Amino acid sequence: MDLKLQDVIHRYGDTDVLRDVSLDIPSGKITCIVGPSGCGKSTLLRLLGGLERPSEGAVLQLGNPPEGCLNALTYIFQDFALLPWRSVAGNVALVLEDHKLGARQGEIIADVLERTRLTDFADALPKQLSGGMKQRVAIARALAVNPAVMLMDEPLSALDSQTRELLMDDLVGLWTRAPFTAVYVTHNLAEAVRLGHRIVVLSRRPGQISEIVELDTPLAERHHGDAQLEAQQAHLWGLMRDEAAAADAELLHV
Amino acid sequence: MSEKVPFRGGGFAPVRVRGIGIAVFVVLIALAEWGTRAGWISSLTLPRPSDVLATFGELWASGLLFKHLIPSLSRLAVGASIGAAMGISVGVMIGLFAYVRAGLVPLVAALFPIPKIALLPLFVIWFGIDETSKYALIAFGTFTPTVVATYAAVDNVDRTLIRMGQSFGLGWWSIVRKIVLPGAMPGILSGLRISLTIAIILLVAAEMLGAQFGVGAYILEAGSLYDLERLFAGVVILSVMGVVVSGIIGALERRILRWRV
Repeated sequence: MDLKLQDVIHRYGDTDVLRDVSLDIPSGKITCIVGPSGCGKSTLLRLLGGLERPSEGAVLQLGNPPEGCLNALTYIFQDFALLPWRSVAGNVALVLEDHKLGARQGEIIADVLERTRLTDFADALPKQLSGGMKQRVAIARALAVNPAVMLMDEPLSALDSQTRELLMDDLVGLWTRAPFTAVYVTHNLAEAVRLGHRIVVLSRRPGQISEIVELDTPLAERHHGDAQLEAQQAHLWGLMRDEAAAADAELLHV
Repeated sequence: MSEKVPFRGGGFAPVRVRGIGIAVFVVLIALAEWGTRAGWISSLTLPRPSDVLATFGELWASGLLFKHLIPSLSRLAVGASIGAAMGISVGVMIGLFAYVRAGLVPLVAALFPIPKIALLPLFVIWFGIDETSKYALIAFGTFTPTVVATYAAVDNVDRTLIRMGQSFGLGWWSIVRKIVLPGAMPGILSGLRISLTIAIILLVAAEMLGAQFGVGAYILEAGSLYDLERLFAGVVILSVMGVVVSGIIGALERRILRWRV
């Protein structure tokens, strides 16, 4: 299933947040969206998943979600959004309970916890887990509903840099074993060149697409500190630098 | 020259100290006992604690204690449960629906400051002089603080968790049951601490009117006779009820809110 943004304009009050954004999200690939802070990249993601309605234009879903998909557009949030009163397994169960799966539910939970290496922590409460583990629980929860598109909102930004490296490896591993479609919003260019098949660069507010960069190196062959990745990162930074500086100097009218 | 860096980081953190609470009670009671025995507190000012204890012993031995306590406890249980249940339901509705909030918040604000004791005659007319009017008075008094605490607690539930629930396509009822209610539980429980204490206050008020038995009736009778020992014996029962209620809620909190950091 593909997603398509068609001439999307979005405003909060009088402020334009996004202007004339048209974008295709092809299936089976990770599309990264980068841009200076406040450029509307998180808003774009909320529009894609139907948590917000665009002021103008449309968000289209092309084709049908795959068989066995319980929630086509599934988010992974920056702050994990785990229920603190439920165990790891309980948090995964939360998104399955409404579907009345019977015995299948237990199988799905066991499967996703195994894929995210959380089987031993099934009964732990979120407060007992490190940030990286919490985000793995959120990833397990997203995998459990077998999504057509994963919408990831700065999923690694709340983590320290070492945990971030480990989780990037996890994500690459998950994608290599079973390619999924994802939109990955980040302000971190290193994450973008590591995980993105396509990188969409947004300008500062009002956000417009200023460039789309395609990366052909397979995900599994990209490594931390790779010279080629560094070069791509430097190229992206060159595109964004002035915009980011200008965005930083802007007054917020909230 | 070398000097130790002075330590500046202490205090401002609650530390659990055992035994001090009991020590305060013991010291105060011992002071009263000593004062009344030595004569610098006259027996009209304060009854001697040992006499109060003796009165309490008589009350126990004669079986009157339970004759007073059981009706009181059942009134408290019925009235407070009705009030708390309705308070929590209305509070959740106010938290969830804009129209209910717009309609009921001013009403609750108008009801809250009314001394419920002042409405006692009205309750007697509405519900009769028997148990129902007592239940109603206690329930009404418990209701308003519970409502206020509950809707504030619902307002404080982490919105990102609710967005998460919506983004996974959870049904409305699932979101309320699995995200909103557990998330509001800390606030609801600390609200109950206050409203159940108010229920004990109103229990006495309700029993001062047309009750033959009950802790309130007992205190009223002792008060009108200026029988300070019995008055204090009654008051001690109320204090113990307060401590027990607070203990029960504390135990509930430790059990239900184990997930809190």
